[in-house]
Amino acid sequence: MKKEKYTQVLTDLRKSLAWIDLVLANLAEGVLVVGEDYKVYFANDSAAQIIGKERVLLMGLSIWEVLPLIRENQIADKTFFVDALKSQKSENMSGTYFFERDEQRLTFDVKVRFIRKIKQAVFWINDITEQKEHEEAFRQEQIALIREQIARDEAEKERARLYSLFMQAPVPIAIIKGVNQVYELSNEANNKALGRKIMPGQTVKEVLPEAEKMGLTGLIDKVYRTGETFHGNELPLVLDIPGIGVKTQYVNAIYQPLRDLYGNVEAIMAIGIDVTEQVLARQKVEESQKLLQTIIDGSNAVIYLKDVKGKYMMINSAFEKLFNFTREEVKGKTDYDIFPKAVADELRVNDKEVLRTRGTLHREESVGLGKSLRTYISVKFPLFDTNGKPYAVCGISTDITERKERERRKDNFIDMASHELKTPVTSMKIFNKVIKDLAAKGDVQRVALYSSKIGVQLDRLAKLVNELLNLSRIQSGRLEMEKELFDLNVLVKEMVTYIQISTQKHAIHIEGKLDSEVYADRERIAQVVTNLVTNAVKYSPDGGDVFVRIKKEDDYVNVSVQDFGIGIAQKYQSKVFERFFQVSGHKEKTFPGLGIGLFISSVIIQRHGGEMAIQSVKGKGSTFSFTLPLNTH
Amino acid sequence: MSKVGFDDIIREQDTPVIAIDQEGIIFFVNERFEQEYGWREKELLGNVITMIMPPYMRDAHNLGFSRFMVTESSRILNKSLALPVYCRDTSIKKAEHFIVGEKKDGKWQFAAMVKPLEANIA
Repeated sequence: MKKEKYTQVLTDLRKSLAWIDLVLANLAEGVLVVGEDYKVYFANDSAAQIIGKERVLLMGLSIWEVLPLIRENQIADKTFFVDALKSQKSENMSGTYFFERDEQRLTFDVKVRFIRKIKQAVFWINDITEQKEHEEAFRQEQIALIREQIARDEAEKERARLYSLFMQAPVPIAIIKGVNQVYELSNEANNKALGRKIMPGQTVKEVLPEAEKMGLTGLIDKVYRTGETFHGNELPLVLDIPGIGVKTQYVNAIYQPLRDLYGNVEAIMAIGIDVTEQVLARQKVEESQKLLQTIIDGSNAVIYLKDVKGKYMMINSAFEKLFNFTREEVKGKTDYDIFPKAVADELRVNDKEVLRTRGTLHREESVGLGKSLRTYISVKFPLFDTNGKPYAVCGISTDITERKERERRKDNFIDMASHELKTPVTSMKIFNKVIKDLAAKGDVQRVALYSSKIGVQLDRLAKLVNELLNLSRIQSGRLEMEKELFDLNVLVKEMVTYIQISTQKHAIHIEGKLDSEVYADRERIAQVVTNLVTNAVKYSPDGGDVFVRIKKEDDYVNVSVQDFGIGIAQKYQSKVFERFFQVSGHKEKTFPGLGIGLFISSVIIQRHGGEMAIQSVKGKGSTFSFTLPLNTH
Repeated sequence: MSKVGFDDIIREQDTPVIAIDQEGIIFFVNERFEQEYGWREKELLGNVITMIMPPYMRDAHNLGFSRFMVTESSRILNKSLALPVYCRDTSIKKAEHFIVGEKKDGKWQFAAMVKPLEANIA
């Protein structure tokens, strides 16, 4: 009976144990029972799964061996566990532990209950790896969200800061968006520069009707299409500013494309720096330089500027014309690049002296030009920079070649005039002595002959004196004209008749006739006709025909005198009307005269409003002519 | 390999063998078992099988054995398992267990070949 009861109890216990085992087997939590010897006495299926070993094989193994739990990167404190088992105070412990299995870090929520009576501890192990991962993911997500928010806030702050920076920037800035060129932003400086308040959303064409005409819209469009930044310097902006009117400004502009995340141009940032003042200042300087250049170009003197090394910095037109160089060709070159070495040496010595003495130098310089040598009187002086250091030599060289030539001719003239005056005087002195001797002898007939010879010499002397007087009057501006109406035909005939008497070798012919009278100084015109016809006779030493032609041409009368004498070389023809000029050929030297007849004649004709001309072929003869205006009274 | 039955194990002489009834009471042990683990037949027969198990195996055995008796579903029968054996001298030997279970006349009986794997482990 008793055995049956025990059997019944055993059967009941088995049932209880069976369902306890089933419950434990199906628990999601791992359950481990550990004895005071740290050995596993029980492990449910979940614990076996967590540990990764078959359940039955876990029994008897050390808890530290099968489940090396890690907390805060350290193996769970054995001492604590031992103490907890022994202690009467601590019955429970819990915490989050890690367990590494197959190189995977698992996270567990571990609760331990110590059962003092049986000296065993029950571990409830809950795998919270996934939960932790979710939590971690959630935490990371939150952190990311917070970071994103912070970044957004920062970006917003940055945007606000940038916007404020844009708006307050002293440089005009505008953001223009889209192909329709819509203003997204225009800062105060830009509004001020353009003289109008630009609101976001307005188009460039609306705000700046002038933009299209000035090519700005096309420029923006080009930057949009090409994506290439545009840099423009000193672009003129002609703006019609309300209340001010049309105003021209100059700007250095940058049109910078702004791209979206995909690299497409979505807007243009336009930056304009007002350089009007600089441009106007430069224009003024340029105008001043131009004015200075014009002034120095207007000078007949050769003007140039050379740096301390002798390199040309600037030259004037006279320099260009004289030496047949353009200023671009000369700039940066030295005298050694332009002139023969000997000339360059002389110029360089003078320049160096100027730099050394820091004073003004007056020097006569000779510069070869082709085969001829020209003479200059040069004034050279240094130019100083703001520190008082010389940086250039300025030279003003006046061509005195002609002046020297005139001086030479004047000297020659004085020699000649002295000789011309002396010859008749000497003749008269001789004739006078002869007359005295003949008078003493009573030879009246020969006295009369020599007396007439003295008369000829006196006429010659009177003519010379008259020419000198006329020259003097011309030079002092006192040659006066006493105009009257007279018959030119008669005057020409009188003069020709008078001169024809003096020569047997020449036949002087008059051709043509003027139907009206002329209004001029009869004596002076007579002097001119006499000069021309006399010259024709004088320079036709072999005799021959001389033609005097009178011809009406519109409002003028033209009187020409043609001879078939020695003629004048082409190179001298332009100089025959100059003062003291006499052709210098060996043959011509044989002709007496002061060389002022043609000069006086040309002045007389000019004073009448006419002109003198020459046509001549050397060895074939010459034609001198003059015109006189008709109906001038 | 053909299926090894309860009777096959009982007849085994070269391998230590032990058998229990459905109450967990030992009713057979061969000589080889006695030689290997130091127990005498008279000490074992009529006693519970947990006697030859280390203490830490006994609770697990009781739970598992009880569950099998209710569910008749086992995870240890008919396969080799390396489990410890509690020897007469209190030492513990690891041994390859091959356990079979059969019902005879409506009652379960279990036989196990317990082949030692190594020297004493405790």
